[in-house]
Amino acid sequence: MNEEQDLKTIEHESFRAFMQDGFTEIMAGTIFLVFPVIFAKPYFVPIFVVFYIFFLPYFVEVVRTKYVYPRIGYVKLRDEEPPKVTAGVVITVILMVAGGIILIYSISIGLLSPDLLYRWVPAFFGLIMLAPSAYLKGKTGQNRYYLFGILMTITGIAVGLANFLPVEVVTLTYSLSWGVAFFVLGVIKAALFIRKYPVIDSPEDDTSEQ
Amino acid sequence: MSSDDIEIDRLIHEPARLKIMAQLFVVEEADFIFLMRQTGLTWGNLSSHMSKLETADYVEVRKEFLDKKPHTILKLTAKGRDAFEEYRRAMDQVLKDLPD
Repeated sequence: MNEEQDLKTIEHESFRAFMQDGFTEIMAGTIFLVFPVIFAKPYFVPIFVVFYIFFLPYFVEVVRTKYVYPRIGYVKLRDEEPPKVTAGVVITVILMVAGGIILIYSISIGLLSPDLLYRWVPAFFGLIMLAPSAYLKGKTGQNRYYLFGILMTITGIAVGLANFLPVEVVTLTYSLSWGVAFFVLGVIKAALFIRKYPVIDSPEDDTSEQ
Repeated sequence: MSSDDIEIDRLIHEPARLKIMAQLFVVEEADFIFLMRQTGLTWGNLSSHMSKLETADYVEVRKEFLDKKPHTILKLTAKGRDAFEEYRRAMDQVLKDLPD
């Protein structure tokens, strides 16, 4: 008997149960659809941040309370332990910040063209998405979650290399395509979820509070 | 320590309660519907076992209203977590002592 493995399986199943309502995909799709606006008009960033931090969690909870919890029940997953800050992590962060500063400085003095930045933003974003991809694989135990990170990286590189695309539309094309893909996937998952899990008539509903 | 000296917590060892404790161990808290779905137990069965675990102070039961309906949230107490960890250690020892 490998009880560590059994507990891990239960944890994976709990997380998968939490993920099957399609809400994560719908939110990801919405963010990707909104991203071109933020990229084009940076003054939207504070509005987006306020909405994302203050209103979105409340909105998500309201929707889950109404449509998800009556079907599959409520669960609060355990908080992750904060990652250990190792020398490797510090060095990686310093290198990334330094790289970003060098890149922006090079563009500002004309050493590099801004088009280079715009063309490769999608590829960079795809690489960033490998992290949540790996996180979801770890939490669900399902290798298919690697897929979206890998595909986003590949498509990011592909649109970056596509010289026939004007640089102004590279990020827009990438972001809107993935936004639509995630949103549609989320809606399909939500529809299948509602069909698969009817609202349970909880016996608690018949009891009065003592 | 031999298997004879190991004490198995009979409250946790019962299969249905073991499922409940294992499920609550890996999450922060959950309600009855979630536990029913994950453990495959009926409402009555779950309610009965939960009462025993609450009496032993292994599980904390919190009643609230969700969308104007009564809603019961369940969570392992610190004592419950320690008891489950102890149970795991005991079972590990028992299985380790088995001949090949």
